[in-house]
Amino acid sequence: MNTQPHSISNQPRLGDLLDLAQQLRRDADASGASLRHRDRRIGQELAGLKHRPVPQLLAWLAQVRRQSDEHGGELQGEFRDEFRGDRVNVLHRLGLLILGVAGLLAGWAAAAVVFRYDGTHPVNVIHVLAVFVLLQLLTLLGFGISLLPPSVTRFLPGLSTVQDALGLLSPGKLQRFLTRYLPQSYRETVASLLGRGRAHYRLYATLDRWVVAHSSQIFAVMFNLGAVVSALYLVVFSDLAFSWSTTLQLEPAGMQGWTDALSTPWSAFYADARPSLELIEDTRYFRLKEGVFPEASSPAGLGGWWPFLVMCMVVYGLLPRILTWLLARFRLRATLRRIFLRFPGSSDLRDRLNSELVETRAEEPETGQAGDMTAAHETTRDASLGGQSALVINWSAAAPDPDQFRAWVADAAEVTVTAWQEAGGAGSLADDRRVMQTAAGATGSGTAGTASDAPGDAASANPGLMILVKAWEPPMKDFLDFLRELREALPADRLIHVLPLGRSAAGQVTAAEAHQRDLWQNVLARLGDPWLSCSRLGGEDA
Amino acid sequence: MSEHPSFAVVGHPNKGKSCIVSTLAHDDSVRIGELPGTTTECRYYPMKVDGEVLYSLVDTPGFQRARSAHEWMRQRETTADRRPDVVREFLTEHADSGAFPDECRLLTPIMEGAGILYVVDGSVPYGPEYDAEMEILRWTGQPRLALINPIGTADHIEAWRTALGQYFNVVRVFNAVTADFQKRVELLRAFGQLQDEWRQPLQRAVDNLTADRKRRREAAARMVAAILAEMLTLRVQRNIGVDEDVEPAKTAIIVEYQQRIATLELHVRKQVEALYDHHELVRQEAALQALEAQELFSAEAWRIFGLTRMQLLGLGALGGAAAGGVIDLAVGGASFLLGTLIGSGVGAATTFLAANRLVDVKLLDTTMGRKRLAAGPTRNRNFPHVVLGRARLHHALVAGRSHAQRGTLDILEIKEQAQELLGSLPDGAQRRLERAFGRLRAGREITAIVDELASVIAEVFEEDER
Repeated sequence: MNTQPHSISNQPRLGDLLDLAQQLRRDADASGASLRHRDRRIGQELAGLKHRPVPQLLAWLAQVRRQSDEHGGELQGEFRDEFRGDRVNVLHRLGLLILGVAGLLAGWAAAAVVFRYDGTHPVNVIHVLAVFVLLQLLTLLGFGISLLPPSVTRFLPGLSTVQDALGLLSPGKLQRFLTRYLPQSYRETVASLLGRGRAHYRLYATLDRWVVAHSSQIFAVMFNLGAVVSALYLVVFSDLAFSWSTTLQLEPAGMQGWTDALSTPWSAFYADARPSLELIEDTRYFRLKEGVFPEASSPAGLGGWWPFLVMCMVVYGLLPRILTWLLARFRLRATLRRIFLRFPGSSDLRDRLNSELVETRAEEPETGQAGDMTAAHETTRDASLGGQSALVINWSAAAPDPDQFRAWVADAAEVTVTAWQEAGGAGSLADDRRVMQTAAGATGSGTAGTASDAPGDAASANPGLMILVKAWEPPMKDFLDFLRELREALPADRLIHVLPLGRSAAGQVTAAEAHQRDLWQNVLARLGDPWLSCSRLGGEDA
Repeated sequence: MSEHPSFAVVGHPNKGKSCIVSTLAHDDSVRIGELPGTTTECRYYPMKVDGEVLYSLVDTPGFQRARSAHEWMRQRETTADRRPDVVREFLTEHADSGAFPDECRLLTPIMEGAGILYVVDGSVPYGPEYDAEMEILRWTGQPRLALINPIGTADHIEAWRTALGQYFNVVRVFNAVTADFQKRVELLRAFGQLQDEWRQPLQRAVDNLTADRKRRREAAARMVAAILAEMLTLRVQRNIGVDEDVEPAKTAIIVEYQQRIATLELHVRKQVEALYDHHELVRQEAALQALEAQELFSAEAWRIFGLTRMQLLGLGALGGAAAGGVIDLAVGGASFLLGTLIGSGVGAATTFLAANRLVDVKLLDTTMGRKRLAAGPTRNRNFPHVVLGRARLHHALVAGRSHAQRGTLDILEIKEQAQELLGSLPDGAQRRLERAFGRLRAGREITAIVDELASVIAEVFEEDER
C-alpha cells in the first residue's frame, strides 16, 4: 500500500530535528533486523516519497511518533519516552511571539519619544534620521558582520571577537534562554545535539547561528513596524511641527542635497515625500532668533516633513529588515533541511526505508537439544584387541581388501581372523540376517571370548566377534538396528567388538583417528549394552 | 505444492548439510554438530524480498535407514512411472509407525515439490551404503542436484563425481566453509537450472542478494567513515591543579586518548559484524589484540597497515603543491611555478616532522586555580591510513566469512598476510582519501566529508572483495 500524503511537509522544524535526534539515539540500541523491518514497512508505505528525502524523513518521523504514542500509552512514568518536538516548536514560536511583541512595543516607544512634540520644541528631523536611518544601518552592518563565516573571520584579526560581542547583544539569545523550560530529557537531547562530539559541531553551530539570527530579525522587523505605525499615529492624531537644526555648518541647499539623496528611491513616484528647498528653509531652527520659526511663511507647512520621514523609516529601516528576516528564515529552513538529511544516522535510515528487505535466515529457532559428545563416555566399554582369534563382520566394506586387513591386524595386534562375513553396504537385510546366524553359530554359546578387558586371555577355540566399521562415517540407525538384532541372536554376555577403521590415501586400512573413535564410542555407549565395546587394536593409543 | 521453488538439503548424517544451509542462508544460528542426528526436524529458511518468498531452503535430518526404506519400496515397485507413488505410499504408511522417522521427515518436503540438493563429503571415499539413499531420491522423480562438499582434503572428488553423475542432473563441488559470495550466487543460479520455472525467481533472488550485498558494503563504509571522522577530530581534555605536576597528567591523558580511539574501533568492528549477520562470532582475546589499543599504536601496526615514510612524503608534497599551485594561479603564472615547488617542499617537510607522533598534549590555559590539558585532534598523517587499513582487513575477513565457519576470527594470524590479501589502494582512492582526511583535520563541516569518505571506502571495500 502506497500512501501519498498530500499534507506531508517539505520543511522540518526545530522540534522535528530534536525528535529525529532522539529517535535515532534510541535506535542505536536496537537490533539491526528489527530496525530494518520497521523502517522498510514504513518505507513501502512511503514509496512515493522515495526521491524526496526530506518529506520522506518527516513522514517516517510522523509514523514512528504515532507508533510510539500507541505503544507508549501502555507504559507509565519514567518508562514512557514521549516525543516532545511539538513542545519545542511551541516554545520556539512563543519565543518568536515574545520577541515580536517586544520589538513592536520598543519601536512604538522609540518613535513616540523621537516624535514627541509638546508645542514648544518642534521634532528635530536630524534626530529622526539618526535613530531610524543611521542607527538602523549600523545595526544592519552589525548583523552582516555576525553572519560572516569562520572561513572569512579567520583572515581578519579581531573580527571573531566583534562577532562574539554582537552575539551577546542579539535579542535572539532569548531562544537559548527558553530551552531551560524544556523537559529534562529534551534538555539532554538539545545538549547532546549541540555538543554531539567535536566531529559535528560545525553543523550545529550553523543551526544555532541561524536560529538566533532569525529570531533577532523578527525583533528588528517588528521594531521598525512599531516605529512606523507609531509615527503615522502621531501624524494622524496630533499636530506635529518639524524643524531641523545642527551645530555643523549646513546651509539649506546642503541639507537639500542630503534629503534629495535619501529620497532617491521614491522621488520618481512619490514627489511629495521629497522635501522642497522652501520647506527646508522655512523649518530651519535657530535658538537665538526671535520666534521658533522666523523664516516660516505658513504654519501649515511645518508638518510637511512627515512623508519624507516615514518613507525614510520604511525604506531604510523596515524594508531592509524584512529582507534580512526573509534571508534568515530562508537560511534557517535550508539549514534545518540540510541537517535533517546529514544528521548522523540519516543516511542509514533512508537506506533502510528505500532498499528492499532481503531475509534469508530461518524464521523459527532450532528445536531439540544438541548432542553432547561427552555425555556417555563413562558407560562405554573401551577394550583393546590383541592376541585373539576373531570372526570378522566387514560392515559396508570398511576393509576393502580382506587379505590386506588380515595382514595388518595380525601385524598390529596379533589377531587371527578365523572367518570373514560381509554385511551392510550394498547387501540386503536378508544378507545381514544370514550373517547374524553365521556369527551366532560360529561364536557358540560358551563363555570363552566373552568380556575380558585383558588382552591375550581369550581362548582361541571360541573366537571373538569383531565388526569393522568406517571410522569416518557416523554410526547410523541402520547399523545400530543390525547390532541390536545381532545381540538378540548372541548370548547376552557375548562381547561384541566394534572396530572403527581409517583408510589411507592408497586405500589401505589404518587405525581410526581419535576424534572418530570418540564419536563411535559415544554413540555405542548410548545403547547401554555392557557387552558391547568400541575397540582399538593393541597398538592404538587409548 | 508451494508457489515458490523450494530445495530440500538431504544426505547422509554429518556430511555438511547444515553447513550448506548455514552458508546459503547467511545464518550462523544453524546448529552444526559432530554427533550424528544433530538435525532432528526439518527447518525452513525462506529467502524473502520485502516479505515475498523467492525460494526456500529446507534443512533435513540425514538418512538413517535408507536400505530398509529402499527395500520396502522395491517390494512394491511396478513400473518406473509409479515410483513416486510408491514413495508417497511409503510416507503414508510410515507417517506414524516410528520405523522411519528421519526418512519420512526428509522425503515429505521433496514429495511436496521441493528440488533435491544432495550433499556428500568429497574428502572421504565413496561407499556402497550411499546407493540406497541415492536410489530413493531418484524414485521421487524430483529435480536433483548433488553437491560435493569437501569437508577436509578433496581427495575423493572424482570418485564421487562418477557415482553421483549416475543419479543426479547436476553435480557441483561447493565448499560450504570457504565459499565466497560469488560462489554462493553461482550455486543459486545452478538451482535455477534444475527446472525452467525456477530460473526466474532464482535470478531475482540472485539480483536482490547482490544488491543487498552492495547495500551492506556501503553501510559498512559509512560506519568506518564516521568512526574515522570521530577519531580524527577527537579531543580529550583534563583539568589539573595549578600545583600538580604536568608530566604524569600528560601520560594519563594520552592513555585516555588511546583508550577512546580503541573503544571507537571496537565499536565499529561489532557494528560491521552485525551488519553481515555474524551475530555469534566468537573472538578470543588473543585474536582481539589486533583490534585493541596497544596494538593500534604499536610500531608494527604502522608498518603493516600504514604508509611508508616515502609514501607519506609523497602525500605531504601533494598537499603542499596544491597550496603552492593556488599562489601560482593568483599571480597568473608569473612565479614560474615556484609556488608549487616550494609548496610541495614545505608539505613534505611538515609531514616528515609530524609522522612519528600520534597526538600532542597542550597546556591550554591556567584559570580559576586550574590548569587545562588537551590531547588531540591528531595531526599524524599516517594514523587514518592505519585505522583504515585495519578496517579493510577486518571488513574483508567478515564479509568473506561464510556463516558455516564457526572458529574464532583470528585477525592476529592473518594480519601478516594483510598486504597480500588487500593489495595497495588505487592511486585515485589514495588521493581522495588524503583530501578527505586533510579536510577533517582542518575542522571543516564533517558530514559532507564523511559522505565523500564513505563513498571512497565503499569503492575500496568492493575492490578488496574482488
